[in-house]
Amino acid sequence: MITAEELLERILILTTVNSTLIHALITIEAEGGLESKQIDQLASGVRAVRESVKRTLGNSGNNSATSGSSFVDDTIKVILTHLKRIETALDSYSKSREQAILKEDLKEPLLTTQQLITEASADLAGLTGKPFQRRLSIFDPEKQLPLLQQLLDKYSSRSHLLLPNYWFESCRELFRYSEPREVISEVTHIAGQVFYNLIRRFLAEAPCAGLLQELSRRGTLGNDLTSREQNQIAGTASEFYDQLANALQNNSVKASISEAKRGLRAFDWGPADVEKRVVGVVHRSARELVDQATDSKTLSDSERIIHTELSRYLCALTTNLHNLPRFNQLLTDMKI
Amino acid sequence: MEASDEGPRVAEVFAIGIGECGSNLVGAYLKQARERMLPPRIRGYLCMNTDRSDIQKLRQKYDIPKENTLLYGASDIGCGGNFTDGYNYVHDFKDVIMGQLTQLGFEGVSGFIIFTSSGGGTGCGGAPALIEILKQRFQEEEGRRIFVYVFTVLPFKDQTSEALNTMWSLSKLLRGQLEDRGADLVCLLSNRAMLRRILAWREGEVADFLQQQLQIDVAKVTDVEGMVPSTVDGANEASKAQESAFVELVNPLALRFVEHMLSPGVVEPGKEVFPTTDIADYARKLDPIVVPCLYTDVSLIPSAGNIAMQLKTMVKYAVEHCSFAEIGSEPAASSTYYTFSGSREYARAEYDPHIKQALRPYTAKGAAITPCFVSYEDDVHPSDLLLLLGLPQIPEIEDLVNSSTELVDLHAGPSPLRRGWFKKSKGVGEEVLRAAIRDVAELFNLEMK
Repeated sequence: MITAEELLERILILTTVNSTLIHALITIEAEGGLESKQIDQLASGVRAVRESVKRTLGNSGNNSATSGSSFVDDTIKVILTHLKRIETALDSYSKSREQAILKEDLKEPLLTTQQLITEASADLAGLTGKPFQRRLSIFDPEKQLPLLQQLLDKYSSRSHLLLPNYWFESCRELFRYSEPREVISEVTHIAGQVFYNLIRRFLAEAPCAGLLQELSRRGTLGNDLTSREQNQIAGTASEFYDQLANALQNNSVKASISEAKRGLRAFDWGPADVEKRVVGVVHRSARELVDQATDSKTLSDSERIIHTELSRYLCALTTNLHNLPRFNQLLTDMKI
Repeated sequence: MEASDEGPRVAEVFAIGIGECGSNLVGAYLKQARERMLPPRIRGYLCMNTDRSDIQKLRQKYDIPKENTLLYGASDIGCGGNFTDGYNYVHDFKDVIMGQLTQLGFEGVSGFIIFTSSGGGTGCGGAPALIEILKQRFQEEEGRRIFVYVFTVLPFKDQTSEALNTMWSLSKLLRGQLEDRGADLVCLLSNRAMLRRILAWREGEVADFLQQQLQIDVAKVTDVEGMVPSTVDGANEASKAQESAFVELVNPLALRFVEHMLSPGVVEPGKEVFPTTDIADYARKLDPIVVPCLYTDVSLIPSAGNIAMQLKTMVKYAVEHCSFAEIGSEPAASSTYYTFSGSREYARAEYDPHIKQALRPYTAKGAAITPCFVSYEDDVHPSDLLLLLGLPQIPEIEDLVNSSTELVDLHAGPSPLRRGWFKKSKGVGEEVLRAAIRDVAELFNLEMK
């Protein structure tokens, strides 16, 4: 038999659920959605309350105060119905959020088997506790990648794009990491600007602009990266984040700058028969990053470290480039 | 080029040609080296330029591989005689240049020989900058001394813009020496003098060549030297072709001197060098600017007696008729180095007092004369006398100083629009050019008009 106190308790719980649901609605409105975890928690809560109220309905027949009262039963039934609807609505919302995320992911090009293995390895690596987690989706809150893409599209009709695409993919790979968010945001903010300037130098400044236009007229080698080339970039980006994690943990700006300068001294200019001025554009960008890390009066320590690690990233990518036959051929073809 | 695997290794040098003239000299030297199998002292070489078409022509003409050429600068169209651009481009592209040199294996060499003209833009401006970055690279980063020799070619007659560039170039190279950032030795070669020599020695061949290349009948020309047009401040294709034809005549002569200068440092079977001589010795014992004189295939007949007179005649001829820049009969050199090479019968160390005696009229009082004898066991080698006269009087330099001064005066004055020419054409102001002219005039004890 349910007592008046128990009834009041149930009413209190229902009021609490109401408040929670209203709060959730406000959050959805303000932030554009809830996270899956939050939706699940809410749905569980509603389910628990419904079960509890349902038990009330089951006990109501024994209540001397309410026995035989259809009003109470009807009221409880109405409450249960509403709770059920809320629960169903929350389940649907949860499903639609998952589908939205899935749709976002499906915008990525289909992966080859090798890429899937790389992805799985990356996720497994995440389980080992690496600080930076690679994801399938792109994390680009500042919408820098579309700007880069626009730049490439602008020059696509007259410039050979293989080389700019290599650097675009190298940038985009950095945006596939999303945690820890604070650090990643800093990385992508700086990297976006660096790669934008780098690609712009290739496409819009002498001597590279002219060389790429000439190459475009010859129409050789294609513009898109192969899976092997993409995988190499992915591997280099992973190393970048590993090194960044170490550097941030050590928190020695001086050591980072020293490493980056060493990287510049050992910069791989490639064989004697490649067009050095094109390679020189990357060297210049790498050097500027180190200069900024050294000379800036406004950068924080973590930002300086990110600058130096990006410099090393550029140097490592350049070494990769010389080992890729197509790019080696490209740079040789470009040499005057 | 690969060093010989037989016998002791020689101290190797790296050759760099900068600008059109310098690159062509390197190209011509290599062509000769391939044809005549010269002893390899040059470990590697690089022809660098800011003009795309020059690089392409050079590669075609001398069959130079792509890896040994470097186009730098952003515009691909050269410097247009602006030595400031030439200077800045080298510094701006320093990493690219050093990257290319690294790939060509320049590390570990004893020194560099830089070939350039003194009157252009790329070479004139680029050479001092190149020396700065090379010295910095080796001395500051490796703690090692390297020797840098510059072979610079003075312009033809009446090339006034080139004359002014020459003033800046010489001033810059020599001032660099004071800060240990300049050339260790500047060898002056004069297009005018070399052309005159060739006309004198091989008139028939020259006439045929000019007829063939330029449809010029030499017999009808009174001033062949004056026919060489100035091309530094923009020129049409015909002028460039004309200048190029004359340059082709003089280049081989310039290269023979290079070969003789490097020869004492090359170890060969049956060859003795006394005292040991190499590029460091020249640099240390001579004044910063030298004019070479090369008398090849000297005829000496020891058995005929009066060797002193024969040697005196040999020296006189070398100075007055075989110099690579006009030095007249009273050059008053402040220092001299000579190398006398030939078979053992002729290249004898006991001739040193006679040669020194013969050189005295051509040197200033108190000037040091340093000998080197290169003698061969066999009698196949001709007798050759190479003289390096340090800081001689060069009338041609006086012409260049005067031409330059006139050019500067022409654009000087109160009008800022007129004075704008200095920045536009040379990238520096009037004061810098006047200071450069003054430097050269003072160095050669010339009175400025």
